[in-house]
Amino acid sequence: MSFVPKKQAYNAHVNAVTLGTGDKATVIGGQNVLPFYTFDAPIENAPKIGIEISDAATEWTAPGLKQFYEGCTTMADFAKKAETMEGADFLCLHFESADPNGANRSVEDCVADAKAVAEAVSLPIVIMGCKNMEKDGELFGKIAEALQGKNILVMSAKSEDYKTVGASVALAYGQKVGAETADDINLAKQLNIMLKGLSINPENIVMNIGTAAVGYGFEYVASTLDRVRAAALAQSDEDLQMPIIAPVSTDTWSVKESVATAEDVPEWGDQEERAIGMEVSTAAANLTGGADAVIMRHPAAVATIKKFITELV
Amino acid sequence: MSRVIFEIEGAQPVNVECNPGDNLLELARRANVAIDAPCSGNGSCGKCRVKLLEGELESIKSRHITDEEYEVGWRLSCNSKVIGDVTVFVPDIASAYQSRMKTADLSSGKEVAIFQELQENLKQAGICFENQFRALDLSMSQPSLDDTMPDNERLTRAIQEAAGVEHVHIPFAVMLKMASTLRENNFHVCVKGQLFEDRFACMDICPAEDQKLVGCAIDIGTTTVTMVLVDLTSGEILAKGSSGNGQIRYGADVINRIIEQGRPGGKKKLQDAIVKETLNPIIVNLCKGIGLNARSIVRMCIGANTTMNHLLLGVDAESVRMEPYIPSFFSWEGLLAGDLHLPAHPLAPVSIAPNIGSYVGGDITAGTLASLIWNKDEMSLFIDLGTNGEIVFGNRDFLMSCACSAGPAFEGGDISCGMRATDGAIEACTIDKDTMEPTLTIVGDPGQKSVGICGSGIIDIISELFRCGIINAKGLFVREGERVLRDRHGSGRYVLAFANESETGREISINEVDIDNFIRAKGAIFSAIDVLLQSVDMTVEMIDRVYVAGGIGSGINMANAVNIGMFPDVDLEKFSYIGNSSLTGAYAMTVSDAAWDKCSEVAANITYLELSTYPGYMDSFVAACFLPHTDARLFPSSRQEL
Amino acid sequence: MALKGLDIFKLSPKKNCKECGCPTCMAFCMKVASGAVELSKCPYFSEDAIATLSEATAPLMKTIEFGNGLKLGGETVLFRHEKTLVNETRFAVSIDTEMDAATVDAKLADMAKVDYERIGERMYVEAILVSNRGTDAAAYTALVEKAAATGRALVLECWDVECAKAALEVCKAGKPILDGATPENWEAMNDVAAAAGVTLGVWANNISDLYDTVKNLEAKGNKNLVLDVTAATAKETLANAVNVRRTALKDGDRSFGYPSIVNLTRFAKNNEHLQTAYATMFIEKYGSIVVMDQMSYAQALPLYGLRQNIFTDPQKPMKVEAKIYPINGADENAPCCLTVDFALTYFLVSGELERSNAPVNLLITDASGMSVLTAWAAGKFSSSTVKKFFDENDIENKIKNRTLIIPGKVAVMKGEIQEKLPNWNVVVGPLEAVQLPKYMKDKEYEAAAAAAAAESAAKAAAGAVEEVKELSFEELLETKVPKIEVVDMGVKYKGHNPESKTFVTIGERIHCISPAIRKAMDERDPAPILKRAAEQIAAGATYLDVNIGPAEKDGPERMMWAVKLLQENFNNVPLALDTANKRAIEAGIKVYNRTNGKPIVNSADAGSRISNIDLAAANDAICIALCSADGIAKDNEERMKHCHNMLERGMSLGMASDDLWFDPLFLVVKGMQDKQMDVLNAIKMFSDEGLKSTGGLSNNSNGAPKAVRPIMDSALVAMAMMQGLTSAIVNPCDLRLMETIKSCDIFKDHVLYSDSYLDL
Repeated sequence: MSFVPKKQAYNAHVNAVTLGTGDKATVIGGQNVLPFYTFDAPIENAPKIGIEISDAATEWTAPGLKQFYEGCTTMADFAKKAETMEGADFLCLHFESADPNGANRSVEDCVADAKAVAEAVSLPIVIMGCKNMEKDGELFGKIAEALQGKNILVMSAKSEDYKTVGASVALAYGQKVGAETADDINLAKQLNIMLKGLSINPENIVMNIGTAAVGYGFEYVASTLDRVRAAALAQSDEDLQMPIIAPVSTDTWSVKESVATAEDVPEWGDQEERAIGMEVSTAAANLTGGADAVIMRHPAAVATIKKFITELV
Repeated sequence: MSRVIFEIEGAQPVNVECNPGDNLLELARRANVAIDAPCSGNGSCGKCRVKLLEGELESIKSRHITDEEYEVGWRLSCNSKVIGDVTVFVPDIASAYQSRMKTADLSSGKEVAIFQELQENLKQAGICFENQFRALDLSMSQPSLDDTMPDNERLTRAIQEAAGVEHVHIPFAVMLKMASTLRENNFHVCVKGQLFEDRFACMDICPAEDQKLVGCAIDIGTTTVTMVLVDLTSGEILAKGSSGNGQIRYGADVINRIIEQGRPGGKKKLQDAIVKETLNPIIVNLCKGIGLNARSIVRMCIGANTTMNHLLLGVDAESVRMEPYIPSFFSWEGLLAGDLHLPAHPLAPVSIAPNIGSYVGGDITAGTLASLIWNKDEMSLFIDLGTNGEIVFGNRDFLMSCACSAGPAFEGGDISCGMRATDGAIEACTIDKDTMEPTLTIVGDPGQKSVGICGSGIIDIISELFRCGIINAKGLFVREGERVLRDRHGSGRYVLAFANESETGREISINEVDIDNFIRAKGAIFSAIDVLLQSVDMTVEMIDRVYVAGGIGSGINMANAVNIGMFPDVDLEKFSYIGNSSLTGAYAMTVSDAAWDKCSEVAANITYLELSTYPGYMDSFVAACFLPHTDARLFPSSRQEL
Repeated sequence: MALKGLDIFKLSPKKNCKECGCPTCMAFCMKVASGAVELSKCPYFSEDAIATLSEATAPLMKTIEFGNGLKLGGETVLFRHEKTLVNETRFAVSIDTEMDAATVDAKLADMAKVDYERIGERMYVEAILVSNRGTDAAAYTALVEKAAATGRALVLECWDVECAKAALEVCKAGKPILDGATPENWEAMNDVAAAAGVTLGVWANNISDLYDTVKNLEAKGNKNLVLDVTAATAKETLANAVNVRRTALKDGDRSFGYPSIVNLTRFAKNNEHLQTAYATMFIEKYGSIVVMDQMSYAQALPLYGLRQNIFTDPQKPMKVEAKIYPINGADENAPCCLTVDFALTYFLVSGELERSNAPVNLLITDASGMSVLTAWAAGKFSSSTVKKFFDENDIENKIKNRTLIIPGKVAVMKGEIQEKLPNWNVVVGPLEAVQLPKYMKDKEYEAAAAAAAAESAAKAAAGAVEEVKELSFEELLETKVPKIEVVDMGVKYKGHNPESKTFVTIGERIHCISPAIRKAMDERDPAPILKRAAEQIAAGATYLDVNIGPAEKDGPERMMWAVKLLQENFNNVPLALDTANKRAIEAGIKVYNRTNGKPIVNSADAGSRISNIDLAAANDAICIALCSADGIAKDNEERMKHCHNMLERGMSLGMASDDLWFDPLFLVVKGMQDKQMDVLNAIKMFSDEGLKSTGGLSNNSNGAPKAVRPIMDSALVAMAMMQGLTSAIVNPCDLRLMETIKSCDIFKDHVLYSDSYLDL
């Protein structure tokens, strides 16, 4: 007798959300099975990879990155180069130096950069702020306005500022909006409900349920991914059926495994290799848990994860 | 030494000598002046306000007192120091909680009806309302030259004959007064005592006409104490009374009191606060009211939570709050009224309804007994909304229980304009969806202006604000209007009564911090129910009956409580309010030994869930901190008219 | 499916006998359902109950041990949040017979390099997969021996029966896994494995054949199996791994209830980064052993970190690490905010602090993952845990700013923390995290910190006086006490015989509560004090009370000056030293002249100031003993209790009973009228026991009109003297009062009558 395993395809679906415009537009989500469970039902939109371009990228020291972005000075240069990276599905502009406690770049300069990139590239664009709520509030509104019609994703609204960010980004300028919470399925759902309360179309919301590098409390991220995806599909809870995006590089490139030089810890060996290892592993862990898109930095890591996704979907 | 005079509104002024530099609140506590201090004197709740009449105080400016109030002399007594002779005015609010509490103390007709109905149910459930106390009317032959039996043998023989038992025990106290009492009443006396199967234990020997056998049932709550005197033979209620728990000044919640009793001399201070300053005065007044000699109280029964039981006995309660949360006793027999110098017969046995866990005590076992859920097949939920909410769930096969840290939110402790249910408290409210205008129901005589908001009022207000879409599911203001004001940091508040409409000349409003606080309190209640159901793999639909007990329970609008996701969404007729079930249970146990045995049996059968160590609790708590709930399917009937 | 507490309870004896250590049967059944305790711990379950239950609670997935105690499998859930995952994924490096010796040695050497500790656990490659590619038994055995020499557990990937037998001869003691059975050779391999007593690995080309082979092996009685689910592609391997585990745990088919082997070298050969990605996936998706080409540090650091995370028990509360979290670019000069390590609290508080844009050091203390109030209630967040945190993390040196903001909800701890961290300014923050941005922006903590600083400065100053203590009273006398000038005030103190039974009046007028006296004391200006003393002596006062107020800063020198000023100007008039500052009293007694009577310590009580009795005893002084303990005594029973308590104490320290003057505490008539007779009866009780008594008599008429006060005082002193009062603190300039006292002394036959008795 031949054994045939039971299939577990759900009738509920993760929302399919389109990023960007034109032929380079890309769709994340839409599936009705657990991550990579193609043996239960085919997965139409494979997970996508976004390339992090930071306005502080000139300070990146890893040889591989320096060599890849040789000669790039402006954000537009970096963006154009990043478009060519093998495995890139979209770009993520990370305005970290807008931080008032850091370089405190003006909103105008950031908006100018964003516009320049939009003109220079055709891949979909995602925006990440500097984590300072007041500055981000201004920045997101202005960029959403400047890049109207580009169908960008702005990361993200939080429970403290969802009204201002949600209203300006999603309602006023019709962009996609991120909903960020910290590793708690209930807080994630509550934020989505409140965003929908502003009459934002759920199809325009992408969730960031919380990030961490592997080994740094990643179990909270893993369990939240498992539970959110189970709620969306098994319990068909439409307040949790938004696709999930995981900014990986910002965490993995700041942990000691990536930062410690070979001199600091000789037995750990080459520093860049370790950083790539952390980025690959954290990206793979997020995708295995249910992330529909990951944001990465190093070309070698991006290529590996692209192969990983292609071989599995 | 400097002299401080406390002018208390509606009471005698109190004068105290103290050293300059003494803290005013501490001084008031030492001098027995009751000032409302839920945060027990740490400047965070702003309730211990007094007004300076003469002299000067050195006070730190607090954000709870506006500049105009400061000019007029208002100060927080907890952060004011005495620097010379001074006279301060203590507002009536402080003494309000002492006397005119709107407690479930059998004062209203509704409460008495409920009380009677529960007694009937107990009887129908096969509990026979009898006890061992007897008043034997004995007339003996006078001793003479040819009948030279000593008094105690004569008395013993009479008792054996009247009571039909072999052994008779005459305690020392009776020996002392036996000779004189016999002779003064020429050997026709009444002997009071307990009749067991094989023996009779005397307790007192009195003149023949004093046949009175009285029992005293007490419910000691964290905030209020209620009590009834009962005729042990007929079961009739002779008198009833209640007052605030004298320990209030040592903190509004049990944790603060446990810490206070941990300090040197603390145990005695807290024991005196409940025995000498609360129980004794009530018992003495009740006895005076019905012309009863306190010595005829021969039986007492107390329903109180675990911490209150420990503080009453003066037993160290520190181990109750520290992990692994082990109380000194669940059930313990052997306390006599004399041990605590209670105004009753010194040999009167005092039974303490058994505790179940560190934060679920005898008041709940007594309440569970009274609610009859142990005698039913239906799945019943019993919720006691006192200062700290407790929950019991199950039926005749099994009973689960846990304490939910609802905390003082229900007592108005945490809410900026919160207060206990006394005169001037807004206890109910409806809001017109379009005009956003409120119609308020205020405790007290008609025309009474509002002073603050009590537990049941807060539930109505939040439910109405949510129903009218003025606040969103997280409790944030999303609609603007004439009554929705913003402070300079943008956080909103809804005005129930403008300054000129309120009693105290202060604006009565509810702000986003209050709402957030209350959402967490209701979240604690519902998540405790949720976890209790989960622990036996059951869901809300399986609840057949919901019994709500506790002082605040009477005022609660059940529909609104469901609408904000506090109570489970079951049909409203499944809800029933059973008044002060702890007192009802204590009454039953006083008059009926069978009730006492059944209560101990039920208590031993209840499984206690320690929420702080229950894995899924935090998760369901966060889910419950949303109006009505993060999983809206649990509350189909909750609606928001947008 | 896992059994529910209630199902077990239905079959339980329901006796609540507590022998199993649980309070009720239901509690025991819930523990059995959660796997925390064995069913057998309760001896009273009926036979058939045990039968039905044990069948249901038998684990759906076997636990297999190999190597030196490495456990595999035994899982009960598909996702860690459902309960917990129990046996960590093990890693193996692969070597095979086609490699030359140098490559093998290099691989084994590299593998050994990765061996470090992470949070108390050893991180190393647990196993070696030795793959046989030919039929040369000797070659394979040699390779196995080399691998065995490393001491690591072995997995023999060998489908050739003879090679397997030979290899097992040299390594079966190390309990290797023989990953050799296939649909073709399973029978022979089963015998080999059985003979060597080792676990047998099973592989097949597709999941259906794998299932059949397992069924055949089980039929032969062999359940010591692991399943090699590796397929040609990653996609198929994932399908196999998931379906095998899901069939066992979700569908309850125990034939797939075995641990798994996932060999990445078969579909991701020599691609280090890709193997890192797949190893990551199979840690979460059901790989019991993951085989790789190599394990570099770049791979080990993320993989072992992730493994440690995934296999932690989610039942434990979500915690963040207890340390300093600088926010908004905070440095050593930013203030500190304190809270607990419960993850949700941390995220909430750090989120709000970020919103405030104010740089702040967020200190997270270890409260075993409880929220603020729960931790405080359970004693896990207390002044001692905060102190421990400050010491362990050397906060003192790392942060210069001395402001510490504690959560508003635990304001009650402020005092205790301040005591344990003296050079910090402990400030009570807002009650709710949502109020933090306002609190930080308005810098409310600065004002509060300043107040706290002032308070501790005052304490320090008081403390400073302690340092000054090296300055003995003598040195103080020299340096700080101005010289006394004798001024003739036209009044002479007539002297006092301590033995005389006449009533002792203690003049109360030198009291720093009156601004004039306080100013004079501050500036050491003798005139106003001498004037008041003279008036009282003229009016016939026996003693003079000297009240210098709390005088925390300059108590001793102030008292010494006052005593010398009064005694040197008025023929050593006896004094009562009235202050809360004990050292000031001691200093005063040092310079006190006893000719007209011992110094009086005013006053001790039965509460917080009982130690003043010891002070009086040590310095052979009289002590006024207030019969109360921090609050008015309720009744005379309590007054007498305090009285005897203090009497015992005094006499046990060698004082004569006459040197203890008991004060019943005269009460205000306005408000305590019903208590006046109690006070008078108390005085009688004192005198009945032969004890002396005193008290602040004029307190009774407090608040009465000026004209009425002397009349009330006189009436009261008469009644009190009738009751046996021996002295009182009075206003001697009240003529009517003094005349009444003198008259009563006549009637009590303490003074011989003469027509001019009033003038004596």
